[in-house]
Amino acid sequence: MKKLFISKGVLLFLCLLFILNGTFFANANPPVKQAEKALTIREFLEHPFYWDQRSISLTGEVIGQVLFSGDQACIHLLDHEGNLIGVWMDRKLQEKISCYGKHGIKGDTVKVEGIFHEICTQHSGDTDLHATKISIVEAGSILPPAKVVWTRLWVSLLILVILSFMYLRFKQRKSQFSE
Amino acid sequence: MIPALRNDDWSTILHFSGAVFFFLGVAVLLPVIIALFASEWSSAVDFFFTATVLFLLGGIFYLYFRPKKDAGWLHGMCITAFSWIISMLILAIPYYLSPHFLSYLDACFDVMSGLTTTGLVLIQDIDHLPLSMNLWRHFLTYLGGQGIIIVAVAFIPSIGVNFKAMVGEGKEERLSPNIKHTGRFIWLISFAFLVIGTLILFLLGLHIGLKPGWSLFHGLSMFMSTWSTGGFAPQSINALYYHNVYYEVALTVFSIVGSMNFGLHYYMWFKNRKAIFQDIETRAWFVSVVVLFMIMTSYLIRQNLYPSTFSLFRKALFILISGHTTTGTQTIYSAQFLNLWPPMVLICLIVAMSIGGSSASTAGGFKGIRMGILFKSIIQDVKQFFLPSHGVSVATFHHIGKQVLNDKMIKSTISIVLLYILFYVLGAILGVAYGYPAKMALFDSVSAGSNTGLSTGLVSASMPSVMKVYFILSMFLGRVEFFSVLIFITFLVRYITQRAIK
Repeated sequence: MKKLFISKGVLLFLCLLFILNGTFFANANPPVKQAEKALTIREFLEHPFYWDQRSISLTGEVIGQVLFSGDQACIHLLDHEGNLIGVWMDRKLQEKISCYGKHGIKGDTVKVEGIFHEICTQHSGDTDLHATKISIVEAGSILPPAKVVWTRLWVSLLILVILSFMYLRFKQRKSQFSE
Repeated sequence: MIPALRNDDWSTILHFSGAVFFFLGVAVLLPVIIALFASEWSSAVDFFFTATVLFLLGGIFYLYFRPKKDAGWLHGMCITAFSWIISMLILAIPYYLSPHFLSYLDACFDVMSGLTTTGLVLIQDIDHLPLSMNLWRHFLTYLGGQGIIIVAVAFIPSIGVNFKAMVGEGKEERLSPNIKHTGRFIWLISFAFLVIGTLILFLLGLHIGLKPGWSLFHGLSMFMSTWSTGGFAPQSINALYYHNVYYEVALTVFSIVGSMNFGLHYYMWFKNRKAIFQDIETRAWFVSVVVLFMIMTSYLIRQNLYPSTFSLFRKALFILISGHTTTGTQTIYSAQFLNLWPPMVLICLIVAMSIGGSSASTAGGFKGIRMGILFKSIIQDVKQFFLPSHGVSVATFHHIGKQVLNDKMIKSTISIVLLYILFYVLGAILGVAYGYPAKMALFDSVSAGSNTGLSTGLVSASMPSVMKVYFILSMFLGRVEFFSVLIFITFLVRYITQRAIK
């Protein structure tokens, strides 16, 4: 009995050690290591004190809607890693952009040159870019719509028919029972 | 001796769960209509398919399993656990069928995150999401915040369950003798605020330059998200997208009001407006916010990160309130929690998220009332020490009326708080085991368990599957406050073992 207890304890300890060591789960699906070092929004955020107040250039898709504050406009730039950042600029610069990305539309791909602000003094501590120059790399376009799988619709309609029969049969049985 | 679930009990559970599925099927028709208006044909078909699956399951359960008895509190607990799990599995279908999720598990994760008002996401490319799906994410949070059982109870005339079913969903305040009235009042408050809140955010949206249609969409989405203390947003950079202080103030106010006890809302509307100042929960929450804010700002000032007091207050207060109400809206990037803010600030946020908002609200965490009760019991114990041996110290507190602190209250409080802490720590250990930094693992584990949604970046589609499953479980258990799930599992195990013995 005592032996069994000790062996169970040892087994439990070994399991714990295994899990804490990370080897057991780590082989299954390890976290993605960051290998890429291209100039991206992630790079700015991971090294904030290095990039703060520096001149940078960033290329990405213009997303969403343009916001306004006084004589300035703010657009949002989506880089190739899927991160988004606000870019402030003069309204004249913003007028160069004609297509904003959303569902079904790929916005203009623009190259923005300007200053990166980890904590912007002008915009109450937001993280943003102040553009001095923008150029259109690729004009926006309409994305092909997602393909409709009609089988799903037919199956749905079939389910509705089955449901209607189920309900009618239930009603019938209920009325028979009450009679 | 634990009572076993008999076939009668199963019929009752499945019958009422069927009603919940049927109601959710009706709710899923909303994105179908939006998708048709927005010409998003693929989304319309996928949502319609999901609605019919819910109708079918709901129909079978509701029509063919007749309740042999009234649903009691044990049934209520089991209905909650069962219907939430099945709802997650079915509602993940339209997500999985869209190109925005890498796996069915990711889709389940986002559904559970929405239903439990957590706000953590594994969705890909939010910025190109169809309008119908984007609005549905927020509406799901709104439904989950009020509780899907409560919705069904309030609006389906033929179903009536015991009041204790609502405890299963974390809504333990009884506002009126009739459970339907209680459910409807919760929805009345939520709907009234929805109209007011959306209007305010719509006007603010116009002010910052959004076009009317987009402003309405953003206003509605952000209100549903903050009122439900969810934390979703229509764009991938969350609340930072708006770059506007007034917008952030409005979101903060809505999240505070949403994290308040529905019982307190009722009490303030119909009885005593001053109740908010007397309530132990609001007092405990307020004291906690003030103390944590002072610590946070002192460390941020020491780092000299922010150029002005205004910007410091703007960022720190927004994130702290977002964490403490378990909303999870962010105005800084996830990476900045680790790379910009000092570790002590993260500790403050972890404490804030752990405590969370009020009980019987849309908020998560172990709740302000439990923190208040724990402190009261400590003070009572210290007082007792100074009393003569035959003396008894009686502690009272205000929570929807005056209450006397008793041992049963303290015991149940300690049990629940310990369960929360256990889940937070286990999640952190799992994260560390996978090679994530400890502070990152702890922060995101607490965020999931307390249904907050702030993230340091650990929660992503590349996260190991075991961690995704653990976080789904953690979000679910945190939302229903453990017991309904634990009771359901106990009954299930007992039912299976008994069948096996037979």
